[in-house]
Amino acid sequence: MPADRLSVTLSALADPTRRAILARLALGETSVTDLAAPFDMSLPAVSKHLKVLERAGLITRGRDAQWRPCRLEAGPLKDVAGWLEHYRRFWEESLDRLDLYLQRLQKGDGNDGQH
Amino acid sequence: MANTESIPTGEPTIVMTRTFNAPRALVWKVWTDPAHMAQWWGPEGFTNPVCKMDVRPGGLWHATMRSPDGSFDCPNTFMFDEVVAPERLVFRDVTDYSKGWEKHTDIPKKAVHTVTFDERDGKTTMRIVTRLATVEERDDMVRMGFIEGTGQSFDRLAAVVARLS
Repeated sequence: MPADRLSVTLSALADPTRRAILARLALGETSVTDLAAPFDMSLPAVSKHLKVLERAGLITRGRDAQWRPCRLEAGPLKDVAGWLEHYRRFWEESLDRLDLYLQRLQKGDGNDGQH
Repeated sequence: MANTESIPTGEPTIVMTRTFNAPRALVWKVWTDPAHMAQWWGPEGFTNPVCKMDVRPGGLWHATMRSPDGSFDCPNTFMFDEVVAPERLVFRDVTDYSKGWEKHTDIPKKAVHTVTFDERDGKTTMRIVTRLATVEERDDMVRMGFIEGTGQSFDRLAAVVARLS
């Protein structure tokens, strides 16, 4: 089992069906039957995916035994988005510098910025 | 040229593209020659007192970024998964964070970066895909890289990636 929370989240997000389920839940809470409808798979198969998402804290299920709607939980997704945002900023700043550096190198006309 | 574009996807991934007014051979060179890399890698004001690269599949890249005020160093080790000159680089963070740098940040160092270079009319468009990877996936890749070394490792690594994705 993955030890850290990010790994649990990423493992859950690695599957396209699970991402599609999350995208559907972003529109509002839904029953398992309704969730399963667009997918060519059995209810137990969908339930398996839901368990993975639930363990990762990406969804919660209602308590009512008859009607256990699935609900998207934004916390772990926000963490992932936040970390990606860090990388995006890192790249933006490095690429700004790379742009300037390339300009300097080319002005140096083949001297590779040695002076 | 500051025309970076960020494209959100449903996956834990960011995609950025930017076009540089420079030929691809030069852009490739400043990416793969540590003396050049040290001149631009990192946020504004950071320096790179250490930058060593072994640019081949399975090869390591050590970079120590120093903060603008010199108050702390950020040592990083990356491993190259793919090196296809002058068009494609794939590398991942394999830094040993038990050594203390992690206390400076809560950012997970599990990203895999794929950089591709395309030239048109003397300009180079670079596309960067950064994907967050799970610990198991990263460890698998590192093990494969170290065990297989160079040469054949590429096919093996590609197979691991296919299995995991």
